[in-house]
Amino acid sequence: MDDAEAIDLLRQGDRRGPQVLMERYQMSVYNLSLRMLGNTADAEDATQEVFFKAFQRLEQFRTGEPFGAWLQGIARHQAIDMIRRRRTIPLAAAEPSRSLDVEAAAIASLDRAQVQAALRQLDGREQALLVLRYWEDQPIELIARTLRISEGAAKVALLRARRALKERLEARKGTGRAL
Amino acid sequence: MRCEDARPLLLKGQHAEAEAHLESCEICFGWLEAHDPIVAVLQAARPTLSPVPASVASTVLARWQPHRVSLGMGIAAAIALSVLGLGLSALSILAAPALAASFLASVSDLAAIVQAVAAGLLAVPRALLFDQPLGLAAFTAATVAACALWARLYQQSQLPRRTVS
Repeated sequence: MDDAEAIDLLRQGDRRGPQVLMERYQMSVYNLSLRMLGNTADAEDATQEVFFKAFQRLEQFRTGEPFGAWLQGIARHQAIDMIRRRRTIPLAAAEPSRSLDVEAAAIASLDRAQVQAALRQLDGREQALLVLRYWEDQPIELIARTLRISEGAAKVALLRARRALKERLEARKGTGRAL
Repeated sequence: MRCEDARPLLLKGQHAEAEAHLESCEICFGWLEAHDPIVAVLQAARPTLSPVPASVASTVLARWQPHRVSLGMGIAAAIALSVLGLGLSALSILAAPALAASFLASVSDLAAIVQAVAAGLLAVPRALLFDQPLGLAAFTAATVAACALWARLYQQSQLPRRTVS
């Protein structure tokens, strides 16, 4: 059964429609939510909301366009809304390193868990920018649209987010903090 | 500001003029990404795919309620009600013919009253329309136009809309 048939069943009130669509797309939606939100509980809530909203707002879906891409758009906005509702307590930033070569070597030696932990310490919007760009490979215009800012502002915000992550990683490296 | 002036400033830290240049320069944006070691580190730290908890699908499907009743169900309901109505009518006629006859007579009297009232109400428009061919033609044209407008509006409501996400 293809997406168009599943959507028709959904519109007719046949349960098979939403079942097929969920089986097909819940993996990508859940993992996008998990990468943006950083924990399984929020990712579960976000995924449920995404599908529920998609099924309720099916009249907004433009027939002929990929259903998965439409769903991903709802998922990005849902994650951004949840990030905005969070209360974040900013941590003090470390002093930036003076030498770019030393800095590059220090950062390269960090493992995946340390990088992910440092990312989660950032402001919600900075997390969203870095996740969408470097984990979800989204183009800058789509990121700007998701965050409701201009493309120029998104470019600058992305640069600042990378800088903030670099400072967090250097602070971890400097204190030798174990994860 | 030129690209070669902006780039070292952007690498060092925040600089309002350099950032203003970056906002409009696709080349500098690409250059900074290509020369920033944090990009490769981030990409290497991309999490692997996690399995979806089983409760997600079951929760969504439990919450989801179809909005419309299907056409088949509607037809079935209409047939069932008609059969029920006919059955009750037949039963009342068979079980209590006198009562049924009295009821039907009352309905017939009521129908005669309604017919007389309707005839009175329609007398004026009948005179206006059938005695005045132009009036009838105008009324017909207005009816056709209203039906065409309704059909157009209905057609537009069925067209795919812009996605809102």
